[in-house]
Amino acid sequence: MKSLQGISTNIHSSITGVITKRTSRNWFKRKDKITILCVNDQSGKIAHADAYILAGESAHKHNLDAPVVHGISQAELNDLNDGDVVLLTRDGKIKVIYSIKSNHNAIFATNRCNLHCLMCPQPSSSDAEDILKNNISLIGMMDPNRTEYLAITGGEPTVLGEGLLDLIQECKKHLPKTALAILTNGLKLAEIDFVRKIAGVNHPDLIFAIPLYSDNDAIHDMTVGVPGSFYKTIKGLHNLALFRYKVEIRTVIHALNNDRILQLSEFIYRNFPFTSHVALMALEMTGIAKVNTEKLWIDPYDYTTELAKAVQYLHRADMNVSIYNHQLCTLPSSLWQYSRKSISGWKNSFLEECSCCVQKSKCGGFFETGRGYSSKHIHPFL
Amino acid sequence: MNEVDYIILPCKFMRCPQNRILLVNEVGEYLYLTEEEFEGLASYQLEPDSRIYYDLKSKHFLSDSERSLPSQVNLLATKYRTKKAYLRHFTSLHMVVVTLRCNQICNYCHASSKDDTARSYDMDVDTAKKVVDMIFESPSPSIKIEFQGGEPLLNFTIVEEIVKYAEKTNKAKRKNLSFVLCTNLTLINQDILEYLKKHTVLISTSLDGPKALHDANRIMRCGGSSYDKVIDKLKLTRAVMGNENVSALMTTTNNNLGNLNQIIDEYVELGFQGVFLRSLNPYGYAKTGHNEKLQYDMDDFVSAYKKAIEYIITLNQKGAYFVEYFATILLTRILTPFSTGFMDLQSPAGVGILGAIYDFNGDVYPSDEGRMLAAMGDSHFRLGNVKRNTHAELFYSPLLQKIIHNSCVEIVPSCHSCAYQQFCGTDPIRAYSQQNDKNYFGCIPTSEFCKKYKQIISYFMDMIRENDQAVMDVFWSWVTRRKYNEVRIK
Amino acid sequence: MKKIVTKIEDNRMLVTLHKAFYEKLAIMSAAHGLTDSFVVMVEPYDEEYTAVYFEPKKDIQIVESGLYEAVQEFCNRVLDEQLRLDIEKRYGNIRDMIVKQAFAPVTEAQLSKELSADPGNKK
Repeated sequence: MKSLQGISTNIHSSITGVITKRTSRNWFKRKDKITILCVNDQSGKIAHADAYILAGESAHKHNLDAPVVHGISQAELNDLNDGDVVLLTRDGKIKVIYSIKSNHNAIFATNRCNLHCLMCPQPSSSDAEDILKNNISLIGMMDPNRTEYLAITGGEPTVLGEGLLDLIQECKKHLPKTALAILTNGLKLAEIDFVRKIAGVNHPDLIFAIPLYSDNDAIHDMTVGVPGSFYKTIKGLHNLALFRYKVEIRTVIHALNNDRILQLSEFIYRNFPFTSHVALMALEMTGIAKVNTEKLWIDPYDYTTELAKAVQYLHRADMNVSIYNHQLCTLPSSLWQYSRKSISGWKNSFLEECSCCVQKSKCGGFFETGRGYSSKHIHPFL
Repeated sequence: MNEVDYIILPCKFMRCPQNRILLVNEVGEYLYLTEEEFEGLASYQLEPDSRIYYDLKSKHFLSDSERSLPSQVNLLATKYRTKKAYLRHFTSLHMVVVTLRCNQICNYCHASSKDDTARSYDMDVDTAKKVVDMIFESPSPSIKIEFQGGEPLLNFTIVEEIVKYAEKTNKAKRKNLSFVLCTNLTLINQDILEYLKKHTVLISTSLDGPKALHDANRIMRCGGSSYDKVIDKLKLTRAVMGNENVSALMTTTNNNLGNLNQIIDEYVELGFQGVFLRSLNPYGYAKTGHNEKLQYDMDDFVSAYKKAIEYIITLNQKGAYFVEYFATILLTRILTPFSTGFMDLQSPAGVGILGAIYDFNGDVYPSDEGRMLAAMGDSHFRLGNVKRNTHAELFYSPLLQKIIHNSCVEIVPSCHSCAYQQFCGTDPIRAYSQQNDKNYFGCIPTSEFCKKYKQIISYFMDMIRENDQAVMDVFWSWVTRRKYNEVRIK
Repeated sequence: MKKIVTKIEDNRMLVTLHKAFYEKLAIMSAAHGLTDSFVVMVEPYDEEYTAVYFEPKKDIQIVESGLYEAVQEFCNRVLDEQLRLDIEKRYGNIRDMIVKQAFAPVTEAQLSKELSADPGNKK
């Protein structure tokens, strides 16, 4: 998530609240939400709020008792929007955990996971005690009229067990118009009773995004680090289909599986023809992936033939397919129509050679975290 | 060399040209192996990390751990159930012969039609109502009533009665009800068309090609050409009903077998979206007496069929959307995991359990061929009559049970080990009539039925194996009902 | 040494197959496939061998080399049929499980328990 660094005053423990930029003293303050007022450098008297974010050095000017983070630039302040939800920390960080203008909002349900994927960008760790409680109140702070999509991710959300049901229930209650995606490895969904319980919550618009790394268990289990995962995931997919849930299948392409993406595509069509969408993704070289570079890294340009065959197969079979995290210059132009701008704004960056590229606005860009690991074939279109 | 620990999952194999072996399993997944790979598989010596090993595992031809076997069986079971989905709802297609009278006397007619004044061959109101009652006893949630004859328009009042009574009955039954009228179109008029449109009755007609070819076989009873009338009425029909509600089929005979391209051109020009290249049924007029010269060798049919398919593929690549319906069914079976309900080629056979036919006098048969045999003197396949028997007596009769039981490819000698098993089917009634088998198996090595289908399936499998991209694009466009240019990635 | 393939008369061939390697069912299946062009008879030959006699059907014209080719084809087919039989014996029960599971009602089946008890008749 986007993160700004400032200086904190009066913050003893982290505060989560909704950004407001109104300065008039007559606006109505909701009692159940923590409001964080953003104050420009030039502001005079300011309205009452639960906490403040101040640009520049104006902290001294206002002499506030409430929690404050100050010292960020005016430009950074302008980047925060009315309705954003931020976390203010003791060490002066401002973490944007909900961005009202974004299509990529996510709830990090847990830091824990039940797999050990070779390319995990987010190594697992333990959870704070109140993580579930905090997430439930976060959901309550989101704007139900302006949140088209929300993802529940982690870690592995299903390790929460019933806690996940609570999150889904809260989304159903507070964000009834929001399409909800659960990003999960599907292992726990092999237990049909768990899927039944999810169905019992009866959320109106739920999709499950599940990764499958190969058409066979040897390579898939090697990728995720736990034997037996492949067949459990498959059972999970079928259990979801039994309850008529929308399912998306994702794969990350790396050195161990890039020669079988076509076979994987066939496997998906033949065994999960009900899949609403297939996402073929390039590796994000961060977290545990960096440790396993030797095993995993392959120049995406080198597998474009196989990728093209896989996309062709899925397109012929009338399945929705997208390519994520690839740069247009590494893909044949016939595949450009499938390439999405999938890297969320704050994570996205370009290389110097991209500045003059005429296709830049259409290109997916690069992972900021993946610096140093890009294709040898990057070049601008002039 | 040490033996590798895996088991071979149920499948069939067939030796193919160029020393390839085709493997196909119970759910229609297929793989071509080299001799070496096949020997390796059969002697348990494949390398567990070889490409072929992974291919075999992912397509469920082998299983290598106790953990994976139950999962693979579950997957296979789910896919098997999908492939047999057409069985789920029992009889959904109901063909009703409203009259044997016809104003045409086509050379190959197997309706054994009667003179157009012979009204004793008309279905009466009482029988019609009982037929509809029987139809609605089918457990299927979808019912398609198909009016046949003779020429149904010669007894249009009964067609109207059936539509009215069926719609009324359906108010309570709430099934997905649809109608089709099979007609030669020569007697159609504005009033009839408006009625058909109002009740959403689709039209299926017969067109054997451009004038010369069509008139060679499809003759008016009073003499003279039928083509001009048909074209004229087709224009009127389209104008009232819309293009998509009219389809046509053709019958190949010795007269037109060498000119299939012309017939296809005629269909394209007239705006049809596809054609069914039907081979001649050995029943009715085509078998008796002077019309034996309509017959041809099955090898000739297959040869002509292949050329026609090549021609249709080229037409699609040039931009027309035009399919061959039988090819589409086969390709759906081979390329997709889905079920296809197609009475003529199914295992178990679709006779009775997928479709049934009700004669003008209320007699019920499992297929039109069964009715034809009765018309020629052998009533072996008559299940009963709507006026005298219950649904169970007709559709759960020992006769039908035996026919269906013996129509399963898994137990027909030679079919039982054929690699094309899951793409193919049986015709128990033809086996009885053409090969005199009272047990409905037939004798596959000498069967014209097998000769035709084995060659056609091989033809498509060869093309799939050759994997010409432009050809595969056309095949997928048929299977997914999209235009060639939508399927192609440019 | 016994010859496997012998010519008896002008257009009649005999093939002898050792019972230890070729089961009757495999021989019958292979023979059945040739009945479009040949009259085939299967009989015991002696204690160890089964005899298969081939004769072209009345209306079939065939040269001597064609006759030998057909018999060679038959010998290869018997090997394939024997392989099919072996596979069926070892793993045929799995197909029964698949079909049974396919048409079972939609509840959690006992199948996993059944399967872990007997995962195919391993060699």
